[in-house]
Amino acid sequence: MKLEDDPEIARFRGEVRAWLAEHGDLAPLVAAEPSEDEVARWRAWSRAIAGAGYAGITWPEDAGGRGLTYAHLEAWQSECAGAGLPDHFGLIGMDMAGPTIVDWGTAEQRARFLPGILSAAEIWCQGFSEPGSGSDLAGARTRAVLDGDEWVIDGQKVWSSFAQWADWCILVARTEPDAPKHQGLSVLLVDMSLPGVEVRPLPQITGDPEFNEIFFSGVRIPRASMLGNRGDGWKVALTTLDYERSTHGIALSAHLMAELEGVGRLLRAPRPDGARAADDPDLRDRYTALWVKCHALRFTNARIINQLDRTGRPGPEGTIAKLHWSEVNQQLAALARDVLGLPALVSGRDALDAGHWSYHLLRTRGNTIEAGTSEILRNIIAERVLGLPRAR
Amino acid sequence: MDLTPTSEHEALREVVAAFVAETTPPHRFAEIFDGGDDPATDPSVWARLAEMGLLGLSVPEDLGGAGAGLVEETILFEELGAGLLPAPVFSTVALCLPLLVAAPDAPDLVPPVVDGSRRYALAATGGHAPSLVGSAEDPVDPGILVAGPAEAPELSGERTWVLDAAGADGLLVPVATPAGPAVYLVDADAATSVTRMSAIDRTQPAFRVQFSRARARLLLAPAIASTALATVRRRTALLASAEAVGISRRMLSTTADYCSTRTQFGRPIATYQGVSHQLADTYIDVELARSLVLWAALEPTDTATLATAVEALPAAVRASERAIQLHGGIGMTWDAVLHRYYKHALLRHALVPRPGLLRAALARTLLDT
Repeated sequence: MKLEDDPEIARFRGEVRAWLAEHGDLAPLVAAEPSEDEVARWRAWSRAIAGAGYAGITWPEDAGGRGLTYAHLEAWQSECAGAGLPDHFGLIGMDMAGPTIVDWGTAEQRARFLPGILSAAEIWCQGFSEPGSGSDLAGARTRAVLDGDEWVIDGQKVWSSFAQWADWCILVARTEPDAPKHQGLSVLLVDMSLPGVEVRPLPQITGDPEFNEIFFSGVRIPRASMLGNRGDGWKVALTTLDYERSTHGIALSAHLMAELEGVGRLLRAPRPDGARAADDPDLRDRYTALWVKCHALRFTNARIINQLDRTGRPGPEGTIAKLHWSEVNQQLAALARDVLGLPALVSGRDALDAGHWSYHLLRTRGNTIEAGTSEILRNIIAERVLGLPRAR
Repeated sequence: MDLTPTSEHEALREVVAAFVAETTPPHRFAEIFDGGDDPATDPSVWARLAEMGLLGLSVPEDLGGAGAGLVEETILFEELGAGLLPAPVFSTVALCLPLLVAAPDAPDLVPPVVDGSRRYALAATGGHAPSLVGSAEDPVDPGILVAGPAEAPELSGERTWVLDAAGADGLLVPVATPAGPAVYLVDADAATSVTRMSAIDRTQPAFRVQFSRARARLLLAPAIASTALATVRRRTALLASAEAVGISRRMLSTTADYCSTRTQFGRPIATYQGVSHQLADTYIDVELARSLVLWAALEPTDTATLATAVEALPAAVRASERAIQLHGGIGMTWDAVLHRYYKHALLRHALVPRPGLLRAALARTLLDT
């Protein structure tokens, strides 16, 4: 056991740091609602990342990745977050759809889709939640019916981030209406440019249309567009969700440490009268408590990464990473709110730190909802980790 | 970073867990803890602990120890906490050995402790001190008077919360002197009286010890005593936290088992989210605390050990309280094992200053430097 990086990880981290220092000026300033120019810049930044070999770090080499460890991935993500630089634009493809295709895809599917994900040539979104099926994902009602050699899709998905830019959607649809609900689902890979696909932006409480509704009416896709077999949809979707909550959780925690630093700077900054928020006993105590919680998460993540590198797959234990991250991130936002007072309630690029604090305050409310509500994650810990009897 | 236990770590855990399960099965708790005056007196248990090398895990090899690291000791204490082994391991390993190892005559003092033939107790607290070990600002509790010539000092006064004093051969007494804190060694039979306190935690007996011109000798002069007492504080925070992880883990598994079999309204109560989510929260607490313990064991700084205690000690209290709540009326009975863990968690929580004070100390490092 040791706290230091392995020599190989230390070497890799140094290489990443040097690369970011040299190329970081290519990166866009990522705003909550990027303009078209910024998106173009972000795609170019992602191509540069892929060109340098920092996309698909943990993907197998025969999938176009580097075949490196999750410890390498963590080094990349924490260096990006520490330098205040955005990661790859194709977030859903990189962290969720791509790894699921690596695990479940046919040779043809892997060859067709993985290169485009890595290079950001093709952007992905997730079609999982529906208006009538959020936490109860297995109750999804969007249906796909086989008509000759084509699946015909009808239904509605919601809360789809990146759908406004997405070329492809990893979609959970009901293909076996007569089967029990968990066995009636399949996962389809859908071209978002097809007739019958409509994306409508949904403004969030931040005012930004960060996520979308997707409507499918009579969308026809080739029969071979299925990931896994008919009826495997629930298992395929669980793979995606495990990646979302653990490997993606690693990235989120890297950003959390950067956020903690930022709140620490707010506390230490002298106000015009010379006093510091850090001298207020309540704010001081709350900051210290959160500092401890962030470090507890940091070392828990290290253990999850060790586990991933031993077994190669995320387990339900990784659920802690996402659950704890979301709650601590909210508490950090609330602390920043109380440190700043009224200035925390101003939005827009002219506000303090380009509106980061009001945005963070509002956006973090979604952290305990997206990628599995905290309530569902506690169910998962209860049932899949602690082995308690199932409630349903 | 690699926080994966090695096969040696796993083997150590299994050995300790098996020993604890054999010597302290929960169905014998009442017999062990409620019977005599002092549960910590089974000499065969102590001899076997010494024989297995568990008393000197982190003691340097030239002093008779195993020369291993703190990680091994946190494994030992997690298992002791999970099983409530009634032996003075904590007082010996966490509280006394750091002082003995720092003494100029350590080569004479330490090996007999590691081999189980001699034992000491730390007499650090008196009066109304809220915690057993002090803080960096306030390292020694006053209340002990040193008189007599320098070559034959005599101690007078009273100490309370002297853990495992019965059967100890000597008492280590930190004392405030004009030159700073010093530590004196008093033969146990030089104390005027050693009486058991009616402390609620019966798994680790606490004693009131009185001295009246007790002959003593200077073990640690002020120059080295400050450093050694800081080590005691860090080890107490870390090893109490490791025990706390064991307590929380056991409270979780015991309660998960109970709630999976206890039925109400026709189904196991663990199927109710009001119940299962409390268990999930305890699981999260256990894993977060375990991560911090590993950090602090590998980097036993003031910052890491304080941060660990801030999280792990309240977590064990919380885990026990949730366990009592989820057991319903059964949880309030003397026959249920839960109260023994709860009381032990409360004692561990009180060994170091309360979490708010620990955070205040951390905040000075994080925000004022």
